[in-house]
Order: sequence, then C-alpha cells, then structure tokens
Amino acid sequence: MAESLQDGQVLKVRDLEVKFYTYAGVVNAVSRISFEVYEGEVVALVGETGCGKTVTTRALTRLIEHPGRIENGSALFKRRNNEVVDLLKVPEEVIRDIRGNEIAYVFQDPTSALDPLYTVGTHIVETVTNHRKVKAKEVLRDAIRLLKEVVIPSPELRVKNYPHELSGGMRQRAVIATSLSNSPKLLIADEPTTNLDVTIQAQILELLKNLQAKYKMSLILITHNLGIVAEISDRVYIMYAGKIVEEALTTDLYYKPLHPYTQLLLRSVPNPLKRIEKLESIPGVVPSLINPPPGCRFYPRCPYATDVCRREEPSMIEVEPRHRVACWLYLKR
Amino acid sequence: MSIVKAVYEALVKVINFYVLVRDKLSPGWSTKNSSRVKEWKLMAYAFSKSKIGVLGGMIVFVVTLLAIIGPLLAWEPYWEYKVVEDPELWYHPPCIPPWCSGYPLLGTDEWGRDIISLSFYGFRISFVISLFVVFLGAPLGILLGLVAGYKGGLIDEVIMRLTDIFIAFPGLILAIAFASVFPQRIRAFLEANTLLRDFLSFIFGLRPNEYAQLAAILSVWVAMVIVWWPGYARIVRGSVLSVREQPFIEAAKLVGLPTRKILIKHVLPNVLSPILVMMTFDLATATLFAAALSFLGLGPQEPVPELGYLISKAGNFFPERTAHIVLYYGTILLVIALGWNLLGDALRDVLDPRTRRSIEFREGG
Repeated sequence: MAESLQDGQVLKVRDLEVKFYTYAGVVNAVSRISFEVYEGEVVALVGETGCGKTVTTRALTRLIEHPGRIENGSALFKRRNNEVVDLLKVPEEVIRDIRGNEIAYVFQDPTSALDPLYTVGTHIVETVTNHRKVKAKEVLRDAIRLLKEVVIPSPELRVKNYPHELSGGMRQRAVIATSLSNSPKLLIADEPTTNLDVTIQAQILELLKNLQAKYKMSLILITHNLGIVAEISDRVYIMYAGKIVEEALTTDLYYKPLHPYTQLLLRSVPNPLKRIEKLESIPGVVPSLINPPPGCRFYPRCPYATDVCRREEPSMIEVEPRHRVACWLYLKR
Repeated sequence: MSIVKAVYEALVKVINFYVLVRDKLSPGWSTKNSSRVKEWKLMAYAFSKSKIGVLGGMIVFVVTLLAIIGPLLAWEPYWEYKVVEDPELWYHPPCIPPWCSGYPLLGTDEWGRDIISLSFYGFRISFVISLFVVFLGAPLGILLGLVAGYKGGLIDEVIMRLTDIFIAFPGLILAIAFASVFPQRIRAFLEANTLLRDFLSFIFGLRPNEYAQLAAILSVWVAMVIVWWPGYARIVRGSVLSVREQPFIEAAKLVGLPTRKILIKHVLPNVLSPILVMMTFDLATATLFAAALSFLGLGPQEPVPELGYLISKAGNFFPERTAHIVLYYGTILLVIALGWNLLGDALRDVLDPRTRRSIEFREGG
C-alpha cells in the first residue's frame, strides 16, 4: 500500500469522491475530500443540510446506494488487530465484518432506527452474535449492562421492551447502547440529537462524550449545530457543498475562524447575551451540486469574493499550526 | 353477547395453554414475552368481536375437521358400486325419513354411492390441494417478491417482467395447458416411487392403487402452483419497496448483517400480515380453482370423488335426476369458499394494529 497511517491515526481519508448519477445529471455529492481521525478523539463534521456530511460517512463503510458511486479516493482504517486496510477496496466480507463491529453508527432518527418487531435486547443480541460466536443468553446479560451504561432506568425491564414502549430519548439511548455493544474503534454519530428535546440533547451529548472517553474510541460527530461542536469536539471540519473548507482545533475555530463561510456561520449563531433585532443569515443559497461552479464553491455568497475565486479552486493550506483552510484570501494576498 | 365471550374465552385458553407449554420448555419465557402475549389476547378479543369472522372461523374449523377425519368417517368406500346390486340406487333422489326410508338421506350418484359419504372424501382432496397450492405457491412468490423488491435494478426488472407475463396470461388456460401435459410424467414417476405413492394416497385419503388418478390430482396441483406465485410476488415486492426505505433496514446493514439475514429477519416479518390475509383468501380461491379444473376434465377420473368432477358428471342428467347432487356439492364448495373469505376479512382487521387498537378503544380498553 502506497500510503500508511501515522502514529495514533485510526482513519485517514484521501481524495474521497462520491457521485450520484441521477436523471437530472451527475450530482457531485462529495468532491475530493481528505480528513483524518486520531485515536480517542472527537471530530466534528459541520455543514449545512445537503453538503455531503452523511454521504461521506456512509462512503466509509461503502453503503452508498444506487445511483450513487464512490468514484475515487482511499480510506485507510486501522483495525483492532492493528492491520491497516483500505475501506474502499477491501472485499465485501471484510467490510461487512467491520460494519457494526469496528465502525458503528448512531442514527439521526431513533424512532425508525429500531425494527418495531423486535425488543431492545434482541437488537443488541443481533449486533453482537452477528460478529462473534457467543450465546444469546450471555449477550442479554451484557445488554443489561450496556443499557445501564447509557443511563436507562431499570434496564432489566427495558431490555424486554419493544421500541414503541420507549420514549424518544430512551430510544436514542437504546440505539447508542446497540452501537456500543461490540465496543467499536470508531463511532459515527449522525446528528444524534436533531430529533430530540433540547433538555435531552444535552444529556445525550454528555453521554456520548463520557462513553467515548470510557471506551477509548474515536467519535465522528456529524452536526449542523455549532453549539454542539463547542460542547464536545476536539477538532472540527467545516464542509461546504461537498468540500472541506476549513479544519481546526475547536478552540481555534471559535477564536479565529478563517474561512468566510465559517465566519458567517458563527455570526448566525444567536448570542444569548446580546439583544438582537433580527437573526443573521448567510445571503444566497448553496449552489447546485450538479455542475458546481468552477472556482471556489462559496464565491457566489462570499463577501470577499475576487476574480480569482471565480476562476480557480483554492487548495487547502496550513495557515497556522493545525489550522488549515481552503480560501484565496490566505493563498495570495 | 355470549358467543363473543365464549369465543374469546376459548381463544384465551388456547393462548394460555401455548404460553404454559413454552414456559415449560424454556422457563422464564412467559415473563419475557408478556407484552407479546398481551397483544395476542387483544387480537383474540378483536377477532371475537367480529361476528362474521367468528362465523367464518367456525365454518373453517368444521371444514378442516371434516377434511382431516372425513375419509375415516365415510361409511361407504368410494370404490364400491352399489348400483350393481340394487338398480334402484341409480341417481336415487333424496330420501327424507317420514316420507321415504331405506335409502341414503340426500340421494345417490350414478354408481349408487351415498353422496354424503362420498363428499367426505371430497373434502379431504379439496382441502389438501388448496393447502398445498397455497403453501407452495406463496413461498415461491414471497421469495421472488422479496428479492425483486429488495435488490431492485436488473434483478427486479427480470423477475417482475416474468411475473407480468404470468399475470397477463389467463391463469385457468395456463393451468389447463400445464395440467394436460404433466399426468403421464407424474404417473411414470409415481410408478417408480412406491413409497411416495403410498404416502400421497394416504394424504389424499385414496387407495394406493389409484395412482393414475393421483397423477391427475398432482398435475392439477403442480399446474396451480405454477400459476399461483405471481400474485404473491407482486404484493410482496410492493410492501418490500416501502419497508426497505425504513431506517431500521439501513441500521441492520450498518450492523453488518448479510442480505439474507436482513431479508428474513427484518423485511419479511414486516410485510407478513398482508400475506397472511391473502393466503386465507387464496385457500378459498384455490379450492374453487381446483374444482374448476377437474370440472373441465383435467383432474382425476373415476372413481375418485373430487367435488368438481362429481358436479361435472352430474351435469349429464341435470336437472331431472341430478339436481340434488349438483346442489349438494355446489353448496359444499360455496361454504368452504365463504368460510375462508369471512375468516380472511376478520383477520385483516385483527392483524392490522390500527384497526385492532380502534376496536380496543371503542370498547374502552
């Protein structure tokens, strides 16, 4: 293999490209993005709806449905036995063994992520027995421990409950317990709090953070909520229209956002300490991903747009240590 | 309503017995599945509330019982031609006690056989054929529908176009074509496999040396299975299309389950209730279809008492001498079909959680 992982890296994605071949045209959902995840780290993937966050993570386990196709790129992943594999190229059996076992997902909508016909315990048992040869009875005992871990009251009873007998927050906890059942190396949480009550949101985030530390796993958190990012993540990738535009440590991003999109995004988060007349928004709309503009994807909405932005695409450059951005403002002053 | 109560209590007893057995087999089963058992009891209640469903259930129960023990109850062997001894028995009209005595209650057929006794054999044959057709045709259709709906793309296209061809072609004609081709081959096969022959004749309640007729029955059955699956394939595919978009299916994929397991464990159970309802309705249709095929002369011949064949034979002297035969066997077919249809209607309400709940709420819990 040409590339290899550096020390402490769990996942290293290079030039990932996903396209959807629809009747309307070819949608460039994800265009040549690169990122990496270190061991025991919380990485946030932030962006607007439809900018390719979910597609990116689905591509990692090759679950892109027709008419989508992974066109290019590599995703090196360090397995439990320290073997480094390219997730995009390994055989189907291997990737199936990794799914749910070493890379687990938490869904946006806990209501429908559980099969209404099976109990919470059955879901956990299924997840475990699919990857390891163990007795269902032993797993069920383990399931109770897991439910206790995700702070579900009286787990001995809940393990026998069907999804419709649980509340939304409880269901999301059950989904998290299911995803933890094989103690994965990498957990991908796809907007885990979007469908929940604000009060529950904080609890679920707290829980994810604690579990991540306890299980020493890496967490990719997909969200559009910068508040959540500040809460729990170590590093942030900002995505815009299928590209990563900025990468920074969370604190750096909040103190000194570089990319104009990030700056505008941060400005549109309402500040509870100030009295405001009108909520800020970014003028314009996300460009169509069918035939995206040739230059910088953000230039139609960018207040600092220049001629070069329209013509050429900026590449990622490291402006400060561990703070990279793709913008002409920092490339050629 | 006392009937409602009696039926409900009987069903609850059955459920309780089942729970008891399961609990004996694996201790702790009842506590683990208490909510499921509760749901079953609610189903039993919803079912007992539907008078028509209860009527259908009773008819089906009686018909099934007759089909199982009928050949044992029949007091005259179907292969004995009484008319040889007593010419009076030739198409003897019904003989109802005060006015007439010494002859069978509902009359006889051309060989002097008591038509009631004869019909007991007919129940068995009809029942077994319809059961076999539905329980072999349905899984075939379900399997194809599952694969087509889930896989999509080219596989879907090929399977569904094949289904369309079968649906577009009139089922009866197709079945006639198949049923006229198969008998010789099946007959040769049965002659070679005596064990299978004896087993099948036992199931159909016939004599083992009747294998020529057995081959005819089997060919009807094979022909029906061949034309039976497309309906299921279509229904299942439609339901699968909506279920496979559910996030829990994606979750199952993300857990790393192989497609086979996803189909069997997550997709199939979620599309099962419309299939169950359709199967009950189809048991009625299959009974009539089998009778129609043998009415047209494609089924078994003398002396096998297949209901459709008996009616077609009685047509020779209709209505002067044979009205009682046509009426009696016609009514039997009607009652069988009616029973399954009524039961299916009630099952549709019971198996749909929404209507089930509405029944529960209307009754105030």
